Amino acid sequence: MLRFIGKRLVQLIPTLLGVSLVIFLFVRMIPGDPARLIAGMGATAQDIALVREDLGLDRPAVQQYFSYMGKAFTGDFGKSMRTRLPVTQEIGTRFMPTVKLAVVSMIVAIALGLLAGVVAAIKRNSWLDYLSMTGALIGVSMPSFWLALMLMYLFAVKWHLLPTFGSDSWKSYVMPAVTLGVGAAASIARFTRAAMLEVLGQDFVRTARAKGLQESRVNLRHALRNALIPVLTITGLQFGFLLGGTVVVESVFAWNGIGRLLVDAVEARDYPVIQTLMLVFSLQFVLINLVVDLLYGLIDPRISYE
Amino acid sequence: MKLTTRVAAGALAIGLLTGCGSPAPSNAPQTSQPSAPKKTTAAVATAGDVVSLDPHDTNDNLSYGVENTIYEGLVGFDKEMKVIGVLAEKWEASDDAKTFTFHLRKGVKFHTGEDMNAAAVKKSFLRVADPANKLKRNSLFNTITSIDTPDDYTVVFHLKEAFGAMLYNFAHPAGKVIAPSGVDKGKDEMAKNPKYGTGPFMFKEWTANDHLTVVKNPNYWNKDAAAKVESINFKPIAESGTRVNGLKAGDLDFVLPLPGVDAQALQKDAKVKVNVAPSIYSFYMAMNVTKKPFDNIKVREALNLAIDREALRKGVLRGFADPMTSVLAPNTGFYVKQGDEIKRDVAKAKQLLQEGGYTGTEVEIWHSNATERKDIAAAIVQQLAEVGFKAKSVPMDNATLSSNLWTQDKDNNKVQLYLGGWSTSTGDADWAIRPLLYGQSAPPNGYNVGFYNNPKVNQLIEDGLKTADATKRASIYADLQKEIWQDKPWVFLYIPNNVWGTGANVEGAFVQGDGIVNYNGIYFK
Amino acid sequence: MNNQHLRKLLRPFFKRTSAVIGLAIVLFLVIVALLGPELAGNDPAKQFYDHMLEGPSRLFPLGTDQLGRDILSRLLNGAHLSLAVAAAGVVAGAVLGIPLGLTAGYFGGWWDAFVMRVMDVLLAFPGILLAIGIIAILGPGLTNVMIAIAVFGVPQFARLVRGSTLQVKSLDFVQAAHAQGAGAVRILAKHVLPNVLAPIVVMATLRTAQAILIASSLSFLGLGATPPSPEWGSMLADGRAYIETFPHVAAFPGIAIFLTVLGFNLLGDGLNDMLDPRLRRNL
Repeated sequence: MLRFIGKRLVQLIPTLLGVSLVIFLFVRMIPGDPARLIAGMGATAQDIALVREDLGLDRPAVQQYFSYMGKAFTGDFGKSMRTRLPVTQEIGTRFMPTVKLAVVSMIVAIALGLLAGVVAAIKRNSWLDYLSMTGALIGVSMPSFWLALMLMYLFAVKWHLLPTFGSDSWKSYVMPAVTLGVGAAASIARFTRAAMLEVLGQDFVRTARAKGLQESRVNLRHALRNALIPVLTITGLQFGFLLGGTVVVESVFAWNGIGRLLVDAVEARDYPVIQTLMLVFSLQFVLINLVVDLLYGLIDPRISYE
Repeated sequence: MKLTTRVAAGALAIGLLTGCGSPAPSNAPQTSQPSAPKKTTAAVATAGDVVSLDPHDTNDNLSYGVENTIYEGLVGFDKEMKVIGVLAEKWEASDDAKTFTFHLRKGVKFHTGEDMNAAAVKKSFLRVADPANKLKRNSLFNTITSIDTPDDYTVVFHLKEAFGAMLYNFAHPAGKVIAPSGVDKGKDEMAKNPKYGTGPFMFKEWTANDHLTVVKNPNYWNKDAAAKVESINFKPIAESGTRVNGLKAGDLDFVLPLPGVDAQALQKDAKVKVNVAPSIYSFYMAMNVTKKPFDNIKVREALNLAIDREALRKGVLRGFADPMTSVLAPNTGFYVKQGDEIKRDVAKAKQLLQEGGYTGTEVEIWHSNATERKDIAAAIVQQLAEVGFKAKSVPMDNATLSSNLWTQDKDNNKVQLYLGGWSTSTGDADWAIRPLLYGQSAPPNGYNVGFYNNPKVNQLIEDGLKTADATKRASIYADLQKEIWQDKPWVFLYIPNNVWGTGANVEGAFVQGDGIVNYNGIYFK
Repeated sequence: MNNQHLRKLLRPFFKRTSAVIGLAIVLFLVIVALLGPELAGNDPAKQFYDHMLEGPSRLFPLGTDQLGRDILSRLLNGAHLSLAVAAAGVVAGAVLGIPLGLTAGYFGGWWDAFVMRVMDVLLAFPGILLAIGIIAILGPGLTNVMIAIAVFGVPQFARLVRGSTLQVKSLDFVQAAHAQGAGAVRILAKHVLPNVLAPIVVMATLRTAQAILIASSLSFLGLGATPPSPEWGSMLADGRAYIETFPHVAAFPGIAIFLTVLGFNLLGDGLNDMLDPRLRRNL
C-alpha cells in the first residue's frame, strides 16, 4: 500500500507539469492583455508599455514559462500582476477559508445525503422514499446563487438571525455551508439510494437475510458497505467541486476564498495567480482522488491496488 | 478614468448596534432605543478589492476613493467637480500655459510627522513625473520638465509644451502629495502600506480581499473638515444583491452603485436612504466611421433618430439618468448645451437609412457583459430593428472587450458599433473629448474606437490645449461641441445618475460626478 | 428482441407511476421545444416599454421581465435551447467518458494511470476557467457555453464508470467469462457495461440538471447565453436582481428548470429499474 501511495505521488509530477504547461498555453490563448488591463482605462500607449515592461511581459513566452517554473521549484511563484503582492500570500490568505467552508459543507452534505439515501432505499416506495428523493430533486435543481439569496433574505434581512456576509464567527458558516452542502447532499443521496438498491438485490445480502441476521445489521453491515463504492466516487468528486467551485457562494457571501480569487485573476488576466492556483487545484484533486482510491480498498478488499 | 469600476460603501455594525441576532427576541426593542451607543466605525463595503494604495500607480475609482481618505493633492474637486484648493491655498498659470505656480498652505504635517512644504511637494511630483519609475499615472505629469521652489511654500512647475488643462491634472486623484520618506520607499511598499499622506484618515491595516481599515487623524490640519468617525472599514462584496441585503439588514450603511430597480424599491424603506446625483459620465454608441455604412452621415443621423432615449432612461434605467444634450455631460468643465435630447423619428430614420445606402447587412454591437449593459443593448437592438436596421448584441468580458477594441489599429479593428461610456477624471473638457474623438487617439494610441478623424475637430482640440485662459478655452470648446453634435460620430444616448444607498442615519459621504466616493465627511446622525 | 421480451423489459418501468410521470414530463418538454415558437403569443425579444416588470395578467400570463418582454413567450421559445444545453452536458460526456472509464477500469496498468491522470488534469481545470477561456477564444454564445459544459462532463463519467468497473470486474461472472476465453470487447460490452449502467443512468439524469444550472451560473458570472436569447438558465440568473421586488421574473424560469430536472430524474429512476439486471431479478 505504501508502494501504491508512493507510485501515485510520483505520478503527481507529470500531472502537475502537464497542468502547468496546458494552463500556461491556455491562458495566453485567451484574448486580453494584462498590461492594458492593469494600466486601466484612459492609460496612454506609453503607460501601457511601461506596465508591460514592469511585469516582464515584453519577454518571449518561452522565456516567461521557464522563468516562472524555475522559480516555482524554489517556492517563489512570483508577484500578482494586479496587486503586486506575492502570489503565495494572495493564495495563502484565501486557501484556508475555502477549505474550512468546503469541509463544513461536505459534513453537512454527507450527513444529509447518506441518511436520506439509505432511508429511501430501505423504505423503498414509501412516503419516506418519496420525501427524501423529492428533497434531493429540489436540492439538485436549485442554483446555488438562488438558494443563497433566498436564505440571506430570510435569515439576515427579515429575521436578523445571521450576518449577511463575512466569515468571522460560526454564524457566518451557516448559510454558505447549507447552500453548498444541499447541492452535494442531493447528489450523494441519489447515488446512495441507487447503489443500496442494487446491493440489496445481490446474493450475499439475501444470504445474510436468509441466515436470519437482524435487518438493520444486514442493511448497514452488508448492504451499505458494498454500496459505498459509487457513493465514495461521487463524494470525492463533489468535494473536489466544493474546493474549486465555490465561486458563486463566495461571491454572494463575500467569502474571501480561492474560488473568487480565480475569477478575479482570470478577469484581470493575472497570469502568475492563475498558473499557481491551477497547480493548487490539480494538487488538491489528485490528492482527493488518491484518498478515494485508498478508501475503495478499505471498503472492498476485493479491489486490489494493482 | 472610466466609471466602470463600481464603488460600494457601507458600514458594519460590529455588534455595537444590533449585535446580529445575539439578543433574544424579548430584548429586541431595547436595541433600537436611541440610547444605544452611537456607531463610531463606518465599515465601508466596496464592489471589489482595492487594487493599489499608491495614488501615483492607481487607475481605478475604487482605489482612488480609499486613497482620498489618506492622501491629499495641491488642488481637488468639490461636489460639483469644480477645482478647489487643498494643500495649495492659491495658484496661477502663465498665459502660455507652460508655467503653473502653487502657494502652499502652512502648518500641514504628514502622518509620518514630516512637514508638508515645497521640497516635499517637489520630491513627490518628481516621482510620478519620471518615466523610469514606471508608475501608471506618469502620463498625467510627464509634461513637467522641472520644478522650482523659490521659497518653502511656493512651487513652480515648468511644462515641456503648452497644456491648458494642466490644473485639472493636478486636481486628478493621482495628483497626490506623498511624504518624502514614502517616496524613498519602493513601489511595492507604497502599494500596500500607505502611511505617507496628510488626509483626515490614517492607514491602519489591509488584508487583501477581506478588509481595509483607516482611522481618524487626530492632528488633521483642517479642524472644520476633521473626521467625524473613529474609523472606516472597507469590505469588498462582489454581488450586488448581497450589498443591497446588507444595507437592508443594517450590516451596511453605504452602497454604490444601487441598481435602478432596487433604488426604486428602497425608496419605500424607512431604514434606508436612496441618494441620486448627476454624473459626468457620457453614455454613447460609437460608430466605426471608416466602415460602411457608418461612413455616411445620413446613416449616423438615422441611428440617432432611431433611438427612443426616454424609453431607455425611464424604462430600463428606472428614471436614474439625465438626457444627453452635448458630447459633454452638463457638470463637465466648459459644457455648452447643444439642444434638447434627440427625439425619436422612425419615418425620418427609415428615409435617411435609404438615402444613406444602407443595404440591410447585420451589424454587431460590442459591449461589456454587465447586466445593465446587456439590457440596454437588447433595447437598442429592438429599437434599431423597428427602423429596419439589423443589429446584434455581442457581450464580452472586460479583458476580451478591451483587447478587441483598443489594441487593434484601423485596418485590423473589427469593431462596428461599440456601446460604452466615459467620464473624465480630470473633470475638464479636454480629457472628455480628446481620448475619444481626436484623430490621433485612434487605437492603439487612444480610445477613439470609431476612428473618427475630422480635421476641424482635431484643430479645435489642439487649440484648446494651447492656452490656460478660461475665456479662450470656453469659446474653443463651445465650437468643438457644436461641430461634434452636428457630425454625429456617436449615437448620443444619456448621462446616467450616480445612485447610492445609505442607512437612514448616515450623512456626509457623497459620490462625485466622476464616480469616486468622498468618504471623508461620513458620520452618523 | 421479440415482443414478449420488450414487454418484460418495459414492465418494471411502467410499474412505477413516478417513472411514467417523468416520461410524460420529458415528452411534454420535447413537444414544447418543438412547438414552443408556434405556441408563443409574442416575439420573445419584443419589449413592451409600457409593461415592464408586470405580474401575471391576461395579456401576459406569466408577467413581463425587466425589459417588458413576455415571460411565457420567452419560456416557450427557450425550451429547445435549454434542452440542447442539457443534452450537451450528457451526450458528449457519455460518448467519450464511458469507453475511457470502462477500459481504464478493466485493463488497469499504464492505460488506467494515463487516462485517469488526463482526467485529473481536466477535472482540476475548474469549469469556470474553462468556460471563460472557451468563450473568450470562440466568442460568446450558447454554442460555446454548450462546448464548455460538454468538455466538463467527460471526466465525471470516466471516473464514475471506472470506479464501478473496478468493482464489477472482480465479480464471478466476469471472471468466468474471462476464463472461458471471451474477448475484452465482448466482456466489456456484454458483462461489464450492463452492470455499471445503473450509476451511469443516474449520473446522466443528474447531469442534465447540472448542465442547465451550470449555464445559469455562467450567466450569473456574465458568461452565459447572449441576449436576447431566452435560455432558461440565463433568464433565471438575470431574474435574481428582482428576487424580492418582482419575484415572478425568476420564479417562472425557476419552475421550468425544476420541472425539467424532475422529469429527467424520474425518468432516470425508471430506466435504472428497467436496465439493472440484478434489480430486475429482485422485483
